Amino acid sequence: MKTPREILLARHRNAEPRLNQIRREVVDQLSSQPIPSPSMPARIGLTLWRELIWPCRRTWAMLAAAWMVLLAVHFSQTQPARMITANNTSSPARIRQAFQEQQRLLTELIDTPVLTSPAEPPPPRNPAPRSERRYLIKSIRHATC
Amino acid sequence: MLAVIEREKLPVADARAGSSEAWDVLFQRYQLPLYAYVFELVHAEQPSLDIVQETFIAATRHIQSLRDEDRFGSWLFGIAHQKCIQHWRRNGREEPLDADFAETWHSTDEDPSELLVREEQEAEFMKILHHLPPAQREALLLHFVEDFSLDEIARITNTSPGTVKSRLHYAKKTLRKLLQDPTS
Repeated sequence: MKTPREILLARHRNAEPRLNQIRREVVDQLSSQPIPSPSMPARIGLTLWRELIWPCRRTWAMLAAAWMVLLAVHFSQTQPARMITANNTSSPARIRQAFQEQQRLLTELIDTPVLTSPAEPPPPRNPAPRSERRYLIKSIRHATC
Repeated sequence: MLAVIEREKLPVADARAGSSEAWDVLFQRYQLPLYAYVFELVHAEQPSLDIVQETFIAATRHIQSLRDEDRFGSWLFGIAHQKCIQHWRRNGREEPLDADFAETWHSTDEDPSELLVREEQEAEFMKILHHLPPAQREALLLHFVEDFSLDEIARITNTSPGTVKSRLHYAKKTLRKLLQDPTS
């Protein structure tokens, strides 16, 4: 009893000399023209792809999808706010106008004569009888002494 | 000197690094199974040899695209599969491997076990193999020649594992039936 593999390989074994010849030709070509090895960045990229990304491709894809969703949500929220800000932002002409208005008000405030009169000296007080008298007596005594 | 018999010990990394000795070992390992596979699809000696040569050259040029070094064998047979399709296109023939047939896999069916062929039935076996639809024959050849898994055969032939399972089932069923009762 033989396995199908044994039957198939035995059937084509007579092609082996020609296959050996083909193999030698290809390998000789390789020896004479070495395969150009990829550049350093390409090799690093390939290694990263093979070792890091490809084995966990599903995880990376899910992460990327999550980031895309986050970015989409972020932009959808910031877009209306940005539009509102843009609407509220004054044009340069309006800014200039407001500035001129402020300047005018300031000039008015500075140049306008003071409406309220300066503080008048307080009217002479009527001397209080007892304290004034005491003061007068003291001063007379002092003078006479 | 590199000596390789088992699939796991193939010097694929050395070949990737450009070692011609490693390539020699790899080609020596696969040349006959690859030729048998191609010949049983193409049915002509010289075109089959040309396809094997083109496959070897393409493998040396595109080895950097091989992601998993353990799958060098299925990758190489995948290149050969593409070369067969190119050969049919060049000759203005339809691609018989793409002519899929609508059949479904029934889980109640008997799971096909490995076939063993008696010496006196060898010629009959080959005759039956040639009469199988090309897509079934290809799946069976890949299964017989290299014992590739369903996933590997699916990857080589660009089909789904379910389709491969179905093709293998029907091909083995036909083979077993005809080997048991050649008159049918």
